[in-house]
Amino acid sequence: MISGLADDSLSRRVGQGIRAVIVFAVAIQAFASGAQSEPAARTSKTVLVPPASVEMDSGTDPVKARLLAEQFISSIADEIEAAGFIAETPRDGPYDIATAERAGCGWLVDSDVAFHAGETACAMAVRDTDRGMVVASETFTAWGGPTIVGLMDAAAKRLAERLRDFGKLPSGSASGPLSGAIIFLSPDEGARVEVGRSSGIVADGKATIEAPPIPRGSSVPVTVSKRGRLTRRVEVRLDMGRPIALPALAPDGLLGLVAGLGSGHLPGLRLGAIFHIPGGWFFAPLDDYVEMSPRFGTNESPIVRDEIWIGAGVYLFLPPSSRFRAGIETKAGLLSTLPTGMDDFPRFFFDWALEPFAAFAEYAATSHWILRLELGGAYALGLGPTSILLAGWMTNKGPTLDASVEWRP
Amino acid sequence: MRPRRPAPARGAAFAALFALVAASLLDSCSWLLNDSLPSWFSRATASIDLGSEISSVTASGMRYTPTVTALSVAGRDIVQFQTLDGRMRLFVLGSGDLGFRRALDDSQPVFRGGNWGVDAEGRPVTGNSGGATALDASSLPVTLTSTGPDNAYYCSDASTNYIVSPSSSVAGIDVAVYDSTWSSQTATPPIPYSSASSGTWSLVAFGMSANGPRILLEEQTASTYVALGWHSMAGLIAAASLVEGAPLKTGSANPSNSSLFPGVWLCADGMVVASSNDNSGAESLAHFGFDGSQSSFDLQPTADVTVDFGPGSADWFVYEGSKGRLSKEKPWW
Repeated sequence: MISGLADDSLSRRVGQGIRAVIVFAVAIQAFASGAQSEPAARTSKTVLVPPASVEMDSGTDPVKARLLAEQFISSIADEIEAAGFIAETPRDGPYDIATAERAGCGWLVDSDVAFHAGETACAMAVRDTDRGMVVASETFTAWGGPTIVGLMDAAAKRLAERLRDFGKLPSGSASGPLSGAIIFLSPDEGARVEVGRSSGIVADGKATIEAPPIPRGSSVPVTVSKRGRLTRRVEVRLDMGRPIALPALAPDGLLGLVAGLGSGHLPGLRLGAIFHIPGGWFFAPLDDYVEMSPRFGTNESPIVRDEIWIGAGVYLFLPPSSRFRAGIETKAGLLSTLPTGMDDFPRFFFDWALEPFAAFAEYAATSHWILRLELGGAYALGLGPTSILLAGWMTNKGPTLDASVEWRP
Repeated sequence: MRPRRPAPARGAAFAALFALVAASLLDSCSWLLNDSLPSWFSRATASIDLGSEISSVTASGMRYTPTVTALSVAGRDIVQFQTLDGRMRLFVLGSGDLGFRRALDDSQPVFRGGNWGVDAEGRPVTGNSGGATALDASSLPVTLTSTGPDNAYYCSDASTNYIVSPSSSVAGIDVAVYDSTWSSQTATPPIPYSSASSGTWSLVAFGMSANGPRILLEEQTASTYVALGWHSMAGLIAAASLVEGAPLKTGSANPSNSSLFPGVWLCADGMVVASSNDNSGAESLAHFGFDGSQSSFDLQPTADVTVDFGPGSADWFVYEGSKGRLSKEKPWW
């Protein structure tokens, strides 16, 4: 059963993953340092909100970065106070657990803002000063622009709400630390499952990993990787006692084999290959249509044709990990036509054609088999003395429609 | 906002759609056959890049030809056309593979463009008022006669040559009978088109098939056409009139006014009439046989295409002007 699983649609964004790992590592380290002591009653409503640490690349305006970081902290402080806590924003450090405890604060906020290649990644976590345990965390990544302030406010609000919810729990309740082993279910045999510094290998459909020292119900990033598959990172809520199902990994092989049929061609079979560019967004199809028209009229002879098409395509909107995908492609083809009734058989006719635009949708039925529907239109160029087609669209009554199956090892 | 459908349900929906499309593709033969191949292509027996041959014997820019006459005669395929320089030209092609044999033009004094037939020695023969010309075994022209009628048609049987032409004295045809060497001529009485008083007839085409002479007549008042056939030239010459005296006759037909083509052709076993198919937009060619049969064929695409039929053979020709390609076709009937 999937518990709190969120699709990792933002996995391609660089900064978010890094930030999430930082938060997770900080949480584990802090929790490990304080987990040995007995839980104390949460008596203080004061939260220490120190300045955020800032990282930036050479292309980032430092003044703008500092202003955004200050805005970030201001948002956190405002939302924490709105949740019924008292936010203290010290100007001088240090900002560690011990300092916060000495200052009488029950909670300490760790926050981090990173600017990289126009992307802003923010991470924040609230720790219990008694045990050092992370009780709430939040991350987000966004491209620069005015809307980032709104995203900061929203993330800070979620963090404050989690802190408020945690504060309502009685001490020693289900929010206590995880212990024992967590079972992950995965259809990808041999895949590596990583949770923080813990990892396991999927065998017989499951991987058993020692529980990290974090509270029950925490959402953490889990990375699933396997050779020949696209690495996938998902966020799951860790609860003891229930296996956590992980999604199947999409193939990351370079080659897919295709078989199908379609309209707008002579009756026949499409065989081909799709060369996928690593990363899962671009591909180059190579198709061969072997066709024969039987022609049952008086004095008619069958016509055999072979169409070779090459092209380039791109997936749109949905990430490689999605089972549904859609995109567009363009192709160029060489059509070899062989009429069998010629006295000087075999005599071939050759036509060049273009498919300037085709749209497709596909569904990964399994991790190896992909169903695909493709809608397009081919235009014959009618070039050369050996051409048999007049220049024009190759169908008279509508676009071509192909149905095919792709197998990816 | 519409609730998002669970992934397994969406997968099943896509799989069902995929199966539906695949099944319809397998089942919908008419859609599958909706290919852009020319409709005549499946009956082609030979093809030649005539445009390249034309370019090789004419000045640059003379590739496109307004009209092409092509017919099979005496074991050779004859292609006669007028190029843009106004000159009548002739290609002799090998029957069967349409291989290029020889090119002639009207600058050669003995070549006279006209209707083609076969003489008693098995040579292709043509001519006009300047006389008759035959092609020898090397497809070079040789003179047969120094004078002759206009709009003449040439044919032969075992040892006799004939020239058939519109009569200069009656509403009918004249048949001039020559010996096998074209050295002596015997006059025969003209044959009227019709013994009935109604109808204004004219000769459109004449030719000799393997089963006897064939004539295509037009009744000009109603613009209807009819093909007539005899079992021998002797039978034709003995006929009291053409329309009432022919042992073989097709039904009458009108070509469509909107047809892209000349309208009517004489072929070995009847005639072919062109009409426009209003439903499909195609040019429809209807064959009317002497046996009463009738069958049609939709010519697609029709852009830049001309066709030709001849009485000497059931084979017919398609010429694609933009590609300069001539194809020889088997009959659809």
